[in-house]
Amino acid sequence: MFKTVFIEHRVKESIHTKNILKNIKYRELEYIENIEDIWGRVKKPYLQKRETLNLFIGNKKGALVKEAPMAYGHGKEKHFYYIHAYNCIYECKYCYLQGYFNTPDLVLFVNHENIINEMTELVKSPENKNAWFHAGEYSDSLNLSHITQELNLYFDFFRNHPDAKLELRTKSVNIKELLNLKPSPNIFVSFTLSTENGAKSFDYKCPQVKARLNAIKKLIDHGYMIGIHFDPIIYHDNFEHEYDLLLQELAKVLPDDRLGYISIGVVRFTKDVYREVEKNYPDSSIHKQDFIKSFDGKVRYNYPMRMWIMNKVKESCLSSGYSNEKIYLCMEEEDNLSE
Amino acid sequence: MLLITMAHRGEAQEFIKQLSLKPEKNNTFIFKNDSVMLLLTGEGPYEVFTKLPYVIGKYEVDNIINLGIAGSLNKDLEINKIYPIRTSYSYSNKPRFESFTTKTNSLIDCITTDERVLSDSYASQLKPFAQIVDRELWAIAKVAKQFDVPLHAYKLISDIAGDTTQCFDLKQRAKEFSNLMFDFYKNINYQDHNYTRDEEIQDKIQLPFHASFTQYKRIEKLLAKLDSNQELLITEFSNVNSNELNDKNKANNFISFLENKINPINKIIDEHFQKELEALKSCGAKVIYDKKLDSKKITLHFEINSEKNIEKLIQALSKTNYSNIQNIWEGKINV
Repeated sequence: MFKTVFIEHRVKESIHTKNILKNIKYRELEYIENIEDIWGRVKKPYLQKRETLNLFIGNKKGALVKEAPMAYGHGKEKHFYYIHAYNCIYECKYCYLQGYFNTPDLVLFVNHENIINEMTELVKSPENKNAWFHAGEYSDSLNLSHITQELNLYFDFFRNHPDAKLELRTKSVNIKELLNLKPSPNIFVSFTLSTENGAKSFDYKCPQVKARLNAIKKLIDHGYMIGIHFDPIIYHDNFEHEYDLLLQELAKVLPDDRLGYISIGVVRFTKDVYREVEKNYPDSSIHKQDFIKSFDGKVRYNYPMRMWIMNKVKESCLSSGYSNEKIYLCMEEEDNLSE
Repeated sequence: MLLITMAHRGEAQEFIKQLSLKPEKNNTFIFKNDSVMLLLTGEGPYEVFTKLPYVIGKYEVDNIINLGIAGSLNKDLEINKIYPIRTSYSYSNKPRFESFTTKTNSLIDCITTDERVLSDSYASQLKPFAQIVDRELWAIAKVAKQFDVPLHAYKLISDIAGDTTQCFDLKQRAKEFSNLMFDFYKNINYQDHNYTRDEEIQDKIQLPFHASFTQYKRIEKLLAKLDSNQELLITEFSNVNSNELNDKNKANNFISFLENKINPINKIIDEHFQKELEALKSCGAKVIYDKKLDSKKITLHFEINSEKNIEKLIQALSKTNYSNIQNIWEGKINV
């Protein structure tokens, strides 16, 4: 239940706003001019999301679709992400959102038509014709989809633009909306997975790994293409064996011909986010990791360790029958490799 | 010493009477007995900034409790009821970004303004941020944080903030509010709120050898990362470590021992590096690489004063296989 729902006057009559209000519980409703006048204006402690989470509904202003940084996704095509929401109802202990927005309050943007118009303009350019569009950069793309009910709009766009590709990034098993829609070969539902123990320790309030695997199975049966993110991987004593087991389980539900890609990445933080993690989860075993403060100020494992971890998981993926060309490593430090 | 802060003497009158607090000489805003001090901050954040740092600087203040009347911004709050405050915010023409959170289970937040809230339109600007509005708490919290003094705050709802505030006269009801707050204060379980600063509760680690300050700090940090019993770790280390070493080397070995416990992979990576660089070391070159393994650069220092030196170096370089080093860097090692 939300404490207060703040709605911008301009979207009061929007069908998307009405849908959201119909599907949620809240204590108070307030109408406001602009989300930005209130949301993120004061530093609200992250963990207050557990007791007093507010929801903001409004229009996304400024850039609605942004070009993604290098190494964001698979393949040589251009990558963009669109912003349909800020913040998340889950509470992954490594999540960068704890140090990114300065408030845990949720924002749901309802100007989906504007977002789709911007995508339409982008794909008119030949260099963007095959572009990827990702949802879920600042929020899980599916966990509130039964409330927001906007997926059909995006599906229509991608059915009409078969060269462009959509990725819906999630840890959710909330696939009801997806099962009501007709899959398309250019729409990929991608799940972030970690080992059973990893998920228990760090993916707080997220569905269990088994449930995520079940959701993958249902989506495959329904005809969807699937992406997998093993990111962030957090080292622990038995991690190789546990990733082997996870890959064995995954291979039972996800055949290679239904796999779009697998990304592999290792846990890393900006120093601000790491400070927030220390504050929010002081007893977490994440602080027992052997991180270094890296050349770019990020907190992470040293370089050979990162590569060793990613190589090990890649080997597990290959042993489970997944194609080499579908696996990519999240290398956010290309500069460090240069001679 | 516990410091109670209140804005006005009227609110504090029952505390002064019941706790037998005496005014400090030359400071009419401070009242004391042997264990409790009361500071009358005056109204508004600027009054707090003028007086509170002086008091914390001059006296040994262990904990602060702020009590005071406040206006409600939320219809669900009860008039004449006292609420513990969770987070304090500030508003001065616009919201201030900085906020301060106390250790409490309360869900009630307070926003501090630098002028009285005398209209509904002003109240409506504050409402999105907190359920209660006062004039001092945020400033008290800012000073308390600066001096690392634990703070608790409790606000008595006197009225609804907004147009009706103008009709409200504090002086008329001061005695009533003071009684309510003193009754509440008596029931605060002070022990539950009496936090000790972190550094005071840490036990010093007993090591069977002398460690320098830097070594000690590193050991402390590493031990904190391990779940194992510290004494068992020290015993395990003592069983495998030579007694003939001096204390400095023992401490360094203990650091390596703990690092290896936390991350056995790093030791293996390091051993691979040492092996690949062995030829260069043997020829007398000083080989330097980033111990954090964050940068790939390897630096050689080698003194040349004869043709023979050059030949030795060429031989050592020819025995050094850079692609092996590259493989280690790329994590291609057997563990």
